Amino acid sequence: MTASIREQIATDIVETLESAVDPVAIKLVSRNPINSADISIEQYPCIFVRTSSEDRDDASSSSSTRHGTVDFEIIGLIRTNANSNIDTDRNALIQTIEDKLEADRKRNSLALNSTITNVVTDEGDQYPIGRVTINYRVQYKYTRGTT
Amino acid sequence: MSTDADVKVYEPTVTSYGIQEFSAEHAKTKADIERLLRIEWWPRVRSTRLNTHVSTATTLEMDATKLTESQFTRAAVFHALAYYILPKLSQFQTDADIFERKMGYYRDRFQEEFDLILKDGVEYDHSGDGTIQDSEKQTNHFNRLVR
Repeated sequence: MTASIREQIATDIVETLESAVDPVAIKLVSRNPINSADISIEQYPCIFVRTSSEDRDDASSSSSTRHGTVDFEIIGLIRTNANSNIDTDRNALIQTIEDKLEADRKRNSLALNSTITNVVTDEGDQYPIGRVTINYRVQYKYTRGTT
Repeated sequence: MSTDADVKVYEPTVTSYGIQEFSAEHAKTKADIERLLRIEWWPRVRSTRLNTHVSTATTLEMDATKLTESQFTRAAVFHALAYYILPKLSQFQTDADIFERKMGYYRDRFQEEFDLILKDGVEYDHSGDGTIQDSEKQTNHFNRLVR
């Protein structure tokens, strides 16, 4: 069975972020939740990608084409060290993710458009571990009954 | 004494946490085990088998090449994990992560395994003929009070 376009986009996001190296090399990208007690100190920065909410509607009353707008939640974890600070490291991770995703807004021709719509950072209460949560919105179309 | 392949028998995913190989750690473990043997085993061999007093035979050193390395493989794996590999992966947070918890487990396993080797008898090619005779693997630690 062919994976839904929604799933294919999620896979493309993961594969894209796995190759991100600038300004920071991402060590781990997972679609399973990341527990900081289960990963090693060598696996930061790491990213958890989760498909979130989605709005769907008909493209027109007569066609079978539908439009979907799906939000992906991209949660990144960094671990700062004595040579840096948590705020700089969080911003570097945000830049890495955005630069990489913006390089192909059509997500390997699976999407109509995509963009980051929101970025939230934690308050540093888990210092030296910092967390960023990025909302990534993807618009795509699919044929009714095939996804 | 041990390799990454030996470690993977006990920790199959050990090279998936951001460090690909641990050859330097195996070398440190080998040196540590040889040092432990020089401290805990060799003085008794020297005083009983070689009939020399501990305080006088200062020049007679253990020859590590006469040991049977495979006898220590399991102990070396536990030692490498407890003292070198897992500490490189642990984040050493306030709440112990999975690596720190395993360090304690493997430390105990190493001590247990090392004690069993001493009780069983360390194989040492005293004659240097390339084979281990029965007399070259008799224990010096059985039913004796060691002060």
